[in-house]
Amino acid sequence: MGERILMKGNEAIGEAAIKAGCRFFFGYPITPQNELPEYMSRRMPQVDGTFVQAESEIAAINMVYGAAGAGARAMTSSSSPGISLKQEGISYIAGAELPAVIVNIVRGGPGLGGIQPGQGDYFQSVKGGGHGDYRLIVLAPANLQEAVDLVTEAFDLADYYRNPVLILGDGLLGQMMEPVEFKATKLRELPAKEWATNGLRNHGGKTNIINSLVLDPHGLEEHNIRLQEKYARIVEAEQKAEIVDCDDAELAIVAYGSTARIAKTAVTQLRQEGLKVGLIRPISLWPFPVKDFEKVIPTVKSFLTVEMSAGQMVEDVRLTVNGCKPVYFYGRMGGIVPAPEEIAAQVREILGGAK
Amino acid sequence: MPKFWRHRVTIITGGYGSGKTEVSINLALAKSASARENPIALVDLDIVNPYFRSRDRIVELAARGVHVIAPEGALRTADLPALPPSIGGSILDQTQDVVIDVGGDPAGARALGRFKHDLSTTPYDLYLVVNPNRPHTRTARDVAELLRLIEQKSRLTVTGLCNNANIMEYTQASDLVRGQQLLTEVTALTGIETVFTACVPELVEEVTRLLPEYPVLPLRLSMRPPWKEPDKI
Repeated sequence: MGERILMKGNEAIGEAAIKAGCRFFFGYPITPQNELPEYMSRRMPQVDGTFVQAESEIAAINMVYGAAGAGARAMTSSSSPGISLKQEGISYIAGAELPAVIVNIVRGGPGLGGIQPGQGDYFQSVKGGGHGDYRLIVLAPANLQEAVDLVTEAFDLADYYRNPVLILGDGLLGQMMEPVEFKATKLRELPAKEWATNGLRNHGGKTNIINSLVLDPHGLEEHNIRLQEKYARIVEAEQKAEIVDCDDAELAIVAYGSTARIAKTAVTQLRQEGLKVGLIRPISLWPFPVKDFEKVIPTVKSFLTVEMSAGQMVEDVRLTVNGCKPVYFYGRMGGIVPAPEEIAAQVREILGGAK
Repeated sequence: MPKFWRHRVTIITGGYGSGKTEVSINLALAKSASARENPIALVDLDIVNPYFRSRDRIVELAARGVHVIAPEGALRTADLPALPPSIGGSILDQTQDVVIDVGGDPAGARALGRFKHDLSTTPYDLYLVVNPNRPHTRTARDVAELLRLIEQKSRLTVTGLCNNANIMEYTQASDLVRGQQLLTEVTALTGIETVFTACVPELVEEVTRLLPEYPVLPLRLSMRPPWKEPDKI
């Protein structure tokens, strides 16, 4: 085992990006993700990288577009309102099929909202916050070691599929501290970036163009069909979830990110009371881990989705369960974090009502 | 009571995430438990962190005789440099003991500079909490540089070091011994000496045996994520 360092979530995500070879970071301050650009502003000069505090979130995402187009590993980060501003650029990056990593440390919304944690950006993340038929790969870590590992993987996934990847965290994950370890891992063989606009000498004199404008409707439809085929490959290959104690479970709690850790504490407590409760923790929010649900749907009697939102992921849970079993919901909003006991009380009520 | 402080006013600074808040809360509780006649105030001067601040434990601390001074109302959950006037009052009031929990890094210490004039009227301890497991304070040279910048921004002089080489509940006694080795190097560079060690309660006995020169402050951890019960304070 390597050396463990005590880090804040935002710092750990930054260092993981640098270890993954990210040398371009463009950002703009917003709580609760400020430690990430701050960390990058300190680290990038030490690794001959580039840090720019852009004039706005819109500028920052378009700088990512440029750096990614030139073949570099590039990242930006923000929190909810700032990520809304980036949506046009994200759609362009997806349309131009460029690899990039975007981090959203979610706070309470809508509007400027507050600075305490939230999960109300699920729809924006997985259903396309920008325009057009595009998809982001969306990964939701629940602890800092997983955040480090998923950021590492995010850069590889982005390069492999030529697609932007979103790391969806929340304020708690960004602000909390845990020991982390940076492991040198090679995840997959990556194709050379022959499409990059990095000078004719680098691709045998062939002109490369990065663009998302296709005026001929047939050409644009073909481009869309190609994108959809890529998304289908991602759905097939990249679903990821953690399943805890579901073998004999009557009820499965479904939660992601920080909320899943709170739910896990509730599961432990409920198991001690003799209640048969498990947890499904989606790690890839897009693609949604349908295959993992299919293992659990035949045996559990009901699902309880818990989110720090008014109920967003619960729609994907209902689509996946498809009416086979009841799907309940419990949520808190505005930056209020549910306590383990609140979740446990919901479960007791559901299971009590079923008897 | 071991010698964690010499003066009525104790100021806690350090790098971002070095454990200042946990050390401040536990020092305030130790002051409260030491049967001093003065009431104890804990000043939450953290204008840098949006979460995990001493104001989050205001009720429990009040029950233990520690009055938390922090922004009130809607400002409590903001990250604004809004400082209540009672901070200056607590420094000037000779009948009150104060622990000041300063925000991390030179950026956080800047808020302390605001009180230079008030602090010139009273003797104080100003400690630098050092956790060498944090990314920017892994060498003695880094710590000495941080100390210099914090002194510059706060316009005050650091009077002692606190060895806080913990890794939360995963700490081993050997981590604190390594922490003290680094602090000894910092003393060689700066002339400022270690005043005390801070560690989780289970390790106090072992750490006292391994580092007998320094009193050990047991750290009951207050700043916990919602899936973990905070220690009883």
